[in-house]
Amino acid sequence: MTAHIASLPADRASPALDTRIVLEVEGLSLSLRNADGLLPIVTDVSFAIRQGEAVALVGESGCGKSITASAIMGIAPDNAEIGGTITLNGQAISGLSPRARRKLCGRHMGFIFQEPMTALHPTLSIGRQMTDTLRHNLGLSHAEATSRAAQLLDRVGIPRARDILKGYVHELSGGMRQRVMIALAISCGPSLVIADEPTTALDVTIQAQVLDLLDDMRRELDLAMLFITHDLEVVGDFCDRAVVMYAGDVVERGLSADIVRSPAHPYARGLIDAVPDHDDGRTRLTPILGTVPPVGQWPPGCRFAPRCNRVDAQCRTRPALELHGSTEARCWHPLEPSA
Amino acid sequence: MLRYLGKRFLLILPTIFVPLILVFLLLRLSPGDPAGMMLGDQATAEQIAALRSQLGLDQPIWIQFLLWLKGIVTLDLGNSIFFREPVMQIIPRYAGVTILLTLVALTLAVIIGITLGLVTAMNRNKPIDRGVVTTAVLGISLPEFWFALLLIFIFAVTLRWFPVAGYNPPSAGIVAFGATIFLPALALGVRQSALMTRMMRSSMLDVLNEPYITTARAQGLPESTVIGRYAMRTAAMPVVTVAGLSAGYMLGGAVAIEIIFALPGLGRMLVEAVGRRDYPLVEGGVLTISLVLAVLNLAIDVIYAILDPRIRYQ
Amino acid sequence: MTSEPMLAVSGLSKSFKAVKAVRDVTFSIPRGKTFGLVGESGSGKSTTARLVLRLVEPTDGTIRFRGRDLAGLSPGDLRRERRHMQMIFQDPFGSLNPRMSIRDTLTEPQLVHGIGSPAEHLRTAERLLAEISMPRTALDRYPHEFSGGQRQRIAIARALSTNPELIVADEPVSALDVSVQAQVLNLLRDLQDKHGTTMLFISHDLRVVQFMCDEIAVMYLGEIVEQGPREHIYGAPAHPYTQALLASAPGKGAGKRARLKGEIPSAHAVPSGCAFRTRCPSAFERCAIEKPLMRDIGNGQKAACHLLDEAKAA
Repeated sequence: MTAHIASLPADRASPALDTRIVLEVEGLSLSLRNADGLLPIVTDVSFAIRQGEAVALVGESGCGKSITASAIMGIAPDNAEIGGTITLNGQAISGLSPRARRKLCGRHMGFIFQEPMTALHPTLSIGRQMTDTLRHNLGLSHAEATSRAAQLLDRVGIPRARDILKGYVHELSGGMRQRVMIALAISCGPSLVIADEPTTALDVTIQAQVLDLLDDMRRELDLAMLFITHDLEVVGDFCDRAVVMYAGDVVERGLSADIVRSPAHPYARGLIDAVPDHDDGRTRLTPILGTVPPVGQWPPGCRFAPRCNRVDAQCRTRPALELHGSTEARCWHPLEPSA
Repeated sequence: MLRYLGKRFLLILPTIFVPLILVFLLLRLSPGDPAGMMLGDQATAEQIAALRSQLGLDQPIWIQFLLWLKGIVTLDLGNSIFFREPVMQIIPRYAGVTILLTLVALTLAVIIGITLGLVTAMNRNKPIDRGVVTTAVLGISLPEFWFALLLIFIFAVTLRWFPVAGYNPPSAGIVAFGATIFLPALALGVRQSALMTRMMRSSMLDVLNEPYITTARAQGLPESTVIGRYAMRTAAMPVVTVAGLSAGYMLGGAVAIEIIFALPGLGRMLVEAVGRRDYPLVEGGVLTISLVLAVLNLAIDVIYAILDPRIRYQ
Repeated sequence: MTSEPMLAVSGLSKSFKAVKAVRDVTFSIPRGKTFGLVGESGSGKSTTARLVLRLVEPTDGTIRFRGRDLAGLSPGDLRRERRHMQMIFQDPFGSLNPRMSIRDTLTEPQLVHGIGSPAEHLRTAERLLAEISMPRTALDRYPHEFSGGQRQRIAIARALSTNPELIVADEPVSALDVSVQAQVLNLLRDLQDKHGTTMLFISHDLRVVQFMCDEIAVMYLGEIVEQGPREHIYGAPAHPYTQALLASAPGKGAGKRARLKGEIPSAHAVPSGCAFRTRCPSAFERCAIEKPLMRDIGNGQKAACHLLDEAKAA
């Protein structure tokens, strides 16, 4: 069941290897049905997250990372056709009815969005949004839900929690909004929290605070965390393992420290090299040429091939995700691991 | 909140006075002289002049206007030239019907609009959606009087469910009142309900794409709560805004409806008073309609502020 | 060639009603160099950019551009001066007119500023397309046919079309994906080297600013708190805010470094004394009472912090 994790060399194991698996995604695919037929968005995504472990889903816009998260939550668009299996706490949930899936949300899975300003209701009070969730999922009374909501806000570092409960999202600063979002996501004691670019919309100093808070929550509550981001540097700092996606595909998978230090896939390498380096002066950046192919226009074989500088005839056939050095990569010509 | 309402009230004042000034001027600029009409063909020029000076019509227009404004403040709108009794006594006899007609029509339009808008948005591109949307386009393009005649033909003449015309006040019992007000109100509300259906549909479709709806779902809230509480609350706001405009259209449209259904309302009274050049009564009627519209719009502002906390603090 | 800087801003301030968005900003950019303004939201960096271009009228201060005081220019002179200063905006979707072909987009600024003949306009457009590595066929296409990175390259070409001496780039790569961001940054630097353009570069991203700029000013709540050559700002930051900003950037490991507490105060209520003191880990009594002045700390580096005085006195 956990072949891809077991296949990692023992000394490179995740710190959380001995805990139980909370989420397992196996061969997940997602297509959108439209007038012209089925449009593949995500193909063959597999990974697992253990209790207390943070796994990053990394990629640029349009790579399919956010829709993968929505498929896991069971909130993918109505016209989505989803294949593969999703297992949560040992229960296969991918075959469940939408109603049964909805019941897992909040109670077993929490969700944190990128832009808390729009992810929180504009005209319902913070307290109302939190108590609605607590009362529905945990069957609490209004008074119990209110006091629990205040405790939660307190826990995520919001001062004057009782006052904030009466307030609305537009009255809060960006950092406070995201703290409310985090409180909401963990409110019903989920075992898995999915955070979709949770700090992208925030200022640098606030970003650091929120990342620290997420990290604390994960440790204190022993959460399995799926961290969706485009920023490989954040991945290196906060995630145990990483799954790099490109054009709907998993192109590299492994310990995040390994991927950041010595990626095997040219795309992962490209992502790292494209970021201006802290310690470098006026040298040129190494961009990835061209742009991500739009959905529906993926090349056959390796989808990164048209932008890759290691491409050859073999890349016209689709490579498998295989172990190269310390990480797994979907590439015919992976990079040599650096010392 | 009080400050917000105070501000809204100040903004409403011009909507009361601008129509008044226009009507005042138009009446006096249009041909036809009340004194001549009252005295008939046989009157001499001296008699007409005497009556004109008695009615104050020989004064400059701006003096007449100031006198009339003074009358508003002292709650004395003068006497009807035709009925020869105070306007303040005539208006209430007619205003109740029009206000009730507009309120019932507005309520019907909002209920129909929000319900159909919700149903179509939830069944987007399915037959029921297409059917309702097509009908709504038809509804917007048909004039009220045509729809009124259609309703009379179907429900009053053919099915005999409702009386063809006439009016029972609420004091006659809710059933008797309802029977005479339902068809006129429906006829008056149908265009606006079609407008509100389309508005509600598109606003609901927008709201369903909002991230906070996804959040509500991701929190495990049942779909009934997500739609009924989280989506409706924001989606209904444009409809509430439109309801204020609709009330204005309806007060205007009431004229035709009152005539078709023989309702003793302000609209009919006004048409007759204009025909008789009964200046004080026309001005009193327009003032009443402006006031009703202002109060309705203020009520809508209150509802809006309750629905959207962001407004309250601005 | 004079040694006078291309742009010299002195004591620049801007208040919007009670909000002091920019306070006493002073810097200069030598010909051909890139000056970076870095800060978080509310720091006043974007307002400063608009002030420099006189898109917003300053409340106080002087802007000397090419040796002339922009404030003293007549509207006509200012318009003529604008061909020498162009702007690149953050949003490549909003900043290009969707109804203008790329040909029109690239020739219009030349037309507006009366540079050369139509044939020359087209030649310039073609040359610029080549410089941003786009085929000539792009001329007859429209912005929506291009990706975000391509649009931003077109926006750069448009900015260069009047052959300006100063380009103000406001968060030019913030809306782009990392791999595309690198392409655009490289392009900006190549073009700058080629044309010798002076640049005012605004970004919240420390990595991007470090890559692009020769000299950097760090802004906090409308003021410059530290300023100096790139290598010193990044190598030996003197102001606690600069230090915290650098420490907060990702890629430094998840260890518990000193984090700034709280958030940027509202510009409506700027703290007394040093604006940063409410979040400063080393704030002491004096910081609330007395506003720290910008002081020279050698190597062309300047910072406004009382700690620097204390260190010197000790």
